[in-house]
Amino acid sequence: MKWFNNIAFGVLFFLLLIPIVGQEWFNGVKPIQGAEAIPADLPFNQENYISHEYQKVREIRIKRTIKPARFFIRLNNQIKYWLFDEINVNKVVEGENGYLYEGPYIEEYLGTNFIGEEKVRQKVNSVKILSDSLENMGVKFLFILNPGKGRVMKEFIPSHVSIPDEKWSTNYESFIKELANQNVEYRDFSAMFERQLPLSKYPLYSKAGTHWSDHGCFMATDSMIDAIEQVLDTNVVRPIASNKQLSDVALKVDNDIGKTRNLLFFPEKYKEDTLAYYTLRTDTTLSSYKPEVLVIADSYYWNMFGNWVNHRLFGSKSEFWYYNNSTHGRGVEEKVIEFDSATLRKRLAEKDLVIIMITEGNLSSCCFNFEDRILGKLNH
Amino acid sequence: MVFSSGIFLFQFLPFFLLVYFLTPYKGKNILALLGSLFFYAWGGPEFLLWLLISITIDYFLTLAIANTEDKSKKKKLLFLSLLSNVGVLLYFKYANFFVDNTGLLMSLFGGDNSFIESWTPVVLPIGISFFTFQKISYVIDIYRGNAKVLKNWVDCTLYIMLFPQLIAGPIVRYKDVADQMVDRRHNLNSQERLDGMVRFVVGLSKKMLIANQLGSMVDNELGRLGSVSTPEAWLIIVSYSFQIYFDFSGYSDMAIGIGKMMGFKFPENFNIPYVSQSITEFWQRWHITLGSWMRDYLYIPLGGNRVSTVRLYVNLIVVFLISGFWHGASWNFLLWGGFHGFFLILDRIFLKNLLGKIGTLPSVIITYVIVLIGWAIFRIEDWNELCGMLRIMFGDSINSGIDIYLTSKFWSILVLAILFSFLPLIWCRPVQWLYGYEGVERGNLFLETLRILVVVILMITCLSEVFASGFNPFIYFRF
Repeated sequence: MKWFNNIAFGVLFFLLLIPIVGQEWFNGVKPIQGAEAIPADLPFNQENYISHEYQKVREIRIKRTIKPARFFIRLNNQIKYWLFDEINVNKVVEGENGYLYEGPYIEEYLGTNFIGEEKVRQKVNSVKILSDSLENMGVKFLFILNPGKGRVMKEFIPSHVSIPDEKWSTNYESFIKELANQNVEYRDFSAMFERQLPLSKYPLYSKAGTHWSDHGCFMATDSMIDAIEQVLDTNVVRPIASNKQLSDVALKVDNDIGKTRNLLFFPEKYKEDTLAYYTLRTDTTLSSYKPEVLVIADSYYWNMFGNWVNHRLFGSKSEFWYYNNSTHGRGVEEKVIEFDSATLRKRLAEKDLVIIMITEGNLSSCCFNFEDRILGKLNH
Repeated sequence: MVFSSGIFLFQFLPFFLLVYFLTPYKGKNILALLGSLFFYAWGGPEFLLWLLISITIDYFLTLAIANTEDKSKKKKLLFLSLLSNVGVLLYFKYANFFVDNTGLLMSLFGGDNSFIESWTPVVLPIGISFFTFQKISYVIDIYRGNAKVLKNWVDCTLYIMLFPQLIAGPIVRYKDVADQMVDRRHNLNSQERLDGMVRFVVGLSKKMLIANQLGSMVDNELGRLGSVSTPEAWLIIVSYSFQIYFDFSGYSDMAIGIGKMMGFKFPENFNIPYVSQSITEFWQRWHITLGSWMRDYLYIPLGGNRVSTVRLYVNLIVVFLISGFWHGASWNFLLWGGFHGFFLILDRIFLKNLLGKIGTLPSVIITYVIVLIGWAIFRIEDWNELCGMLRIMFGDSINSGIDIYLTSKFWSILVLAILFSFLPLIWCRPVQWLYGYEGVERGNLFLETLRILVVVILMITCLSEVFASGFNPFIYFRF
């Protein structure tokens, strides 16, 4: 049996060598998707070594950056999916009928993250102060409440999530009430989505996406332009959804949770109801005016941004400040936090309109630190 | 560096083994020592020099012990070595504990405990509990004449620092491997190499596929102890019992496996402990090498069984208190040691006899329940939390039923853990077959191929688990 022992040992030893020698064997496997902070490589020196930082970074990097990792991580996810329906994406749960949810959207719908009416009142009061400050600069303001998948697609929430029998309070309802009480210009896209859900020809949410679907995004874009026209009291360039393409596979950001699952094979049960995809064209029949708009928003806006809303419907000085943190749409990405008071004033003053667009899941931490990063500097 | 880390599995181990296999026999000890130095230096660079110096001191002391016929001088040299080893262990492992508790006592009696603020906590060198015991074993075995002294510094240092057992055992008594340190050519063959690899993969699987999976549930649920129900509390502790067993025995398997590939035969450390029918038997099956060490170097020198009954009980309690304290510098470990010592005394008085009469299954269950209570003491360091947990386990809970959301993965792994822990009670062949134990039919090519196929699947799954450990990405970065 010596020959058998040698072959068997060779096979097992070879498996152990794969991570080292198999760098080029896994080029055909898609890279790992998702947001994970991988530390930059550290130089080997006495300080890094003695403090164990070098070892820690090296350990993380070897497990994440070598090419075989993409295969083995996907294999691990696939095994756990096959055996246990497990999802290895942070804060994501699987609901009924293959619908995937990010936890905060369910928490917001169920009110388990409700911060209390007093806090909501204070937050809306800050929004009102911002709105007034901008008004004094001649800049209009609009607050848009985006829907959350938990509320709009509540019928597919996982069965193990217990839903209270009695009516419960949510940040969303409190915000709506306070925004109206304090006369802040706002639009409630959440209610609109709930109204449109049974009427819509195509899904407003995909199974594998955390945000509105491409179809939902176009509906929201249309409503946003309506709102901009009302707030600015003028006609502007309007969007047209053209080149409709249908797909039973989630594309683009409609698959953002799906692709972050990092599986080897596409699971049948995530096959979507027919989703619609469009190309954004512009309608200048009534007006060719493109307003200068600053949108401060969370990841819901990426879908609009990716559909060229900023470039085709807004003016050249328009911007998207993602989480009020990084700037997009005007060439070089900058950090909002690094703006001094004068720069900030200049950037705001050149806008016709500032929109804060926030989705339900983020209301508990509303609104992107604008009190410090904008109000504080404006009043400086 | 731990065996389940990426750096060990994907870089150190394959590279080391490759070079080790290609190195002529004469150079293998030097290479193994270099590998061990690198292994230790990776995780504990600040202690490497100190460790080498302390080994060198022991090396010269043992040479002196071996070279002298003067019994009194031998004793003095032994005392010197024990003093330095135990002293260093006490300082590094227990200084913080003694300072904290002295401060607490002083504050209780109105004294000044401001010295605590100026005390800089001592950092614990990795593996100190294990290699200190190995050093003591070496010195005592030489003193007793149980084995030959290692004249070569490389061999001596290698015995203490051999990386497979350096940081988590098994605690290898010197007399058990003395010959292998000098000549182990008869163990360097294809069968041992393959068995070693299989054993390593099985150990890795126990850690990655069972222990770590149960561990995440245990850690989560222990965080909300105040609100758990009685069944939940038992479920947590049962899960923990399997987590610690599969983790520790898995690590021992990996150590034994790597040792085998290198030509060393380390003693077994676990033998399906949860099928024990008494606490006495449990300690013959759980962390066997620690038990053997305690027996040889502590219990027997205290007089062992050849003393009066009262002294015997005192010896047992002392040995188990020390054994508990060896696990960690905290009161709960002392309590855990005392708890086991207490049941060992009960075994001597009546319990073992009684359990022997009620049948296998009831005695296994009763013993397992005692062990579970012990694990609660072992796991929960905070006194108030521990008391709360024990109260809940025995019915004092405001909640009832199992309300925690447990996935099918948790239940599946728990069932697997139960099967692997208790099945050998009635049918142990599958486990023996997988481990490739001696005495199990090895000539059947079909069965051997099947065994390797199972191990290949386990290995690929483990590799995927190591890569995926800690991987839980967000969809987008949030700020």
